[in-house]
Amino acid sequence: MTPLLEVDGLVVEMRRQRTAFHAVDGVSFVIERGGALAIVGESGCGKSLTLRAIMGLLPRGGRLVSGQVIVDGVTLDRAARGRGRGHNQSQRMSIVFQDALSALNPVSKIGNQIAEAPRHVLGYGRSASRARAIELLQLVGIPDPERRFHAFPHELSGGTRQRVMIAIALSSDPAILLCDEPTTALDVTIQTQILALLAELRVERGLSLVFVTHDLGVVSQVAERLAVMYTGRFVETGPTEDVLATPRHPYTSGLLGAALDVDTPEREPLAIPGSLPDPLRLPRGCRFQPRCSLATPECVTTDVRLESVGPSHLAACLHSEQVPSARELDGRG
Amino acid sequence: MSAPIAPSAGQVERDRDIARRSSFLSRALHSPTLMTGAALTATIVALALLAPVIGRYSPVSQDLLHQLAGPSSAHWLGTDELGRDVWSRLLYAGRTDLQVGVLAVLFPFAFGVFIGTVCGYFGGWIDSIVMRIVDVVLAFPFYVLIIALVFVVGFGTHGIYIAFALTDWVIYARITRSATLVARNLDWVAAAEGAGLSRTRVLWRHILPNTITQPIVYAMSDIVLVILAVVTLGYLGLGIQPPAPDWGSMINDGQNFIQTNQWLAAIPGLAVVLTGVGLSLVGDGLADILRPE
Repeated sequence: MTPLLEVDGLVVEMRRQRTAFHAVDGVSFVIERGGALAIVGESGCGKSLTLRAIMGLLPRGGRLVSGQVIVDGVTLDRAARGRGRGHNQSQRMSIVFQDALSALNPVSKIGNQIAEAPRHVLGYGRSASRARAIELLQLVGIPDPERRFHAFPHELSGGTRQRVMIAIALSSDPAILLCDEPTTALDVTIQTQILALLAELRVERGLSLVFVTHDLGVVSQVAERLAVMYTGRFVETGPTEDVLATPRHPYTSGLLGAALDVDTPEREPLAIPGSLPDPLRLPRGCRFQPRCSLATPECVTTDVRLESVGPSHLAACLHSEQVPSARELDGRG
Repeated sequence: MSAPIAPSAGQVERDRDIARRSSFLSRALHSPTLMTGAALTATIVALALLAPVIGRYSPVSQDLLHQLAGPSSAHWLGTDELGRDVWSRLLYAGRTDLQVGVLAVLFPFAFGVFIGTVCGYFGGWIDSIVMRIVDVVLAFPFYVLIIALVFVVGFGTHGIYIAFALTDWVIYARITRSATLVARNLDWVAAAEGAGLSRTRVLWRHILPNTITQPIVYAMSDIVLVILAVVTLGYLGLGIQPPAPDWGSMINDGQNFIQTNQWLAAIPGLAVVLTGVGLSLVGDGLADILRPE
C-alpha cells in the first residue's frame, strides 16, 4: 500500500539580501494513513518552511529547488513551485498556523471563512456549506455554533480562534493536517485542550498529522514518530518513545537536557553551548560539531548522514553510541 | 439547589468573547470625531441639496437695482455686485462644488485601488512600470500639473474631471499597493490560498476588504483637496465657468469689494472651511474605527 504522504529530498532555497542558502536541505519522510509525525527544532531551523514547501505556500524569496511531494501516490505539480496556486489541487492537505489571530481574515465572519472552501472549492450549495460550517464549529468544540457563526475573529479568545483555525483547515475535508506550532501562542490549559482535540480528530476521522513544534513536552501527546531538525536537516528520526528515552544524536540529547522536567525538579536545565550557526556560513562536516561535547576531528572532515541506529531509528552522528540517554541526563543532576 | 460555585472554563471563555463584541455602528456612534464631522457634513450636504427649496432666488438672476445690498429679510446674506442673492448663490455653489468634488474622486479611487491591488499582489514587471509612472506623476507639483491639464483639456467641470482622473489615481494606487504588500504575506492569505481558493477570490474577497479602509479614509480628505482645487481653479477663472455659481469664483468676485462688503468673500470662504473641517473629521473618525483589530 502506498503511504499517504511521501516527502522526498525537499530542498528550499531562501534569499537573504543577495545571497541564497538552503534553509531546508534534503528533508525526506513518509507518513502512513492515520499516522503522525512531530518535527522538533529551534526557531529558524527550517521546520515551518518545510510545512509551507509541502503546501506550496513558500513566502516570497523562497524557492523549492528540488524534491517531491507525493500524496496518495500522486506527485504534486512542480509548476506551482513559486507560490501556492494549484499545488494542492488534490485538497488532501490543510495547514494550521501558529498565531490564529493573524491566520484569520479580520474583516470576515468566522462562519463565512469556514464555509468558503466547501462552497467555492468543494461545490456545496449556499445552505449546505453553511450547515457544514456549523457542523465543523461543533466538531472542534465551540459551544453555540449557530451564534458563533456570525462572530468576527477579534471577538474570540485565543483558544476559540485556534479551534476556528482548525475548523477552517478541516473544511476542505483533508486527509492530512499540517500543524505549524498550533499551540505555541496559547496558555498551557488551552494548549492541552487543543492537543486533545487533535488527538480526537485523528482517531475519529483517520486524519494524519505533521506537527511542527519547538516544545519537546507536547511531542509524545501528538505523534508516535519524531524527527529532530537542525539547520535544515533531520539529524534524528525514530519512534517518539525511543528518541526521547535513548537519543542517538547529541543535539536531541541537548534539547532534552535544556528542557525543564517536573519529574526531576532538582535537575538544572542545561543550555546547549553556542548558538545556531549562520546559515550562510555553516560549519564544515557535521553542522552541530562546533557545539558538540562529543566532537572529534573526524566530525569536521566527514559529511555525516542519517544512518540506522535501531529499529526504524535513524541518527546523523558518528558517535551515536556515546550520546547520553534521558536517564543519564537525569542522573547527572 | 446545585448552582455551580465557579463558572466552567467554557463559560468564562464565552463571556469574555461576548464582552469583546462591539459592532461597527456602536463604535461609530461612540466616536465624537466621526459624529461631529458627520453632522457638519450632513448639514452642508442637506443645505446644498435643498437649494431649490430654501434658496428663494435663482442663483443667476440679476437685480441691478439692488447691487451690493447688505443683509435684509429679502436677501439674508445680501446681494453681490450684480444684485444676485448671495444666500442662493452660496447654496447652489455648494451643490456644484460638492458634486464635482465627489465625482472627481470616484474615478481615481476606483482605478487607483484596482491598479494598486493588482501591482501589490502580483508584483513583477507590471508593478515596476506602474510604480515608475506613479513616481513621475508625483514628481510634478500638484497644482501646476492640474492647471496645465485643465488648460489642455478645457475649462469647467469636464476639464476638472479629466485632470483629476489622470493624476489623482497615483496616490490611491500607492496607498493600496503598500497595504496589499503587507496583506499578501499574512498567514490568513496563505491559509486561503492553501485551501484551494482561486487567486481572484483571494484577491478581491480576502485581501481587498482589508486594504480598502486606507484608500477610503484618504478619499475623505481627498474630497476636501479636490474641492479646494476646484475653488482655486474657480478663483483663477479656470474652474466652473460663470454664470454658474461656485465658491471659488464667489471669493474672486467678492475680493473686489473687500473694503466695503467683506462678507461677499468671507461667506463662501467660510463655507469652504466648514466643508473641509467636516470631511476631515469624518476621515479621522473612520480611520479610528475602521482600523482592523
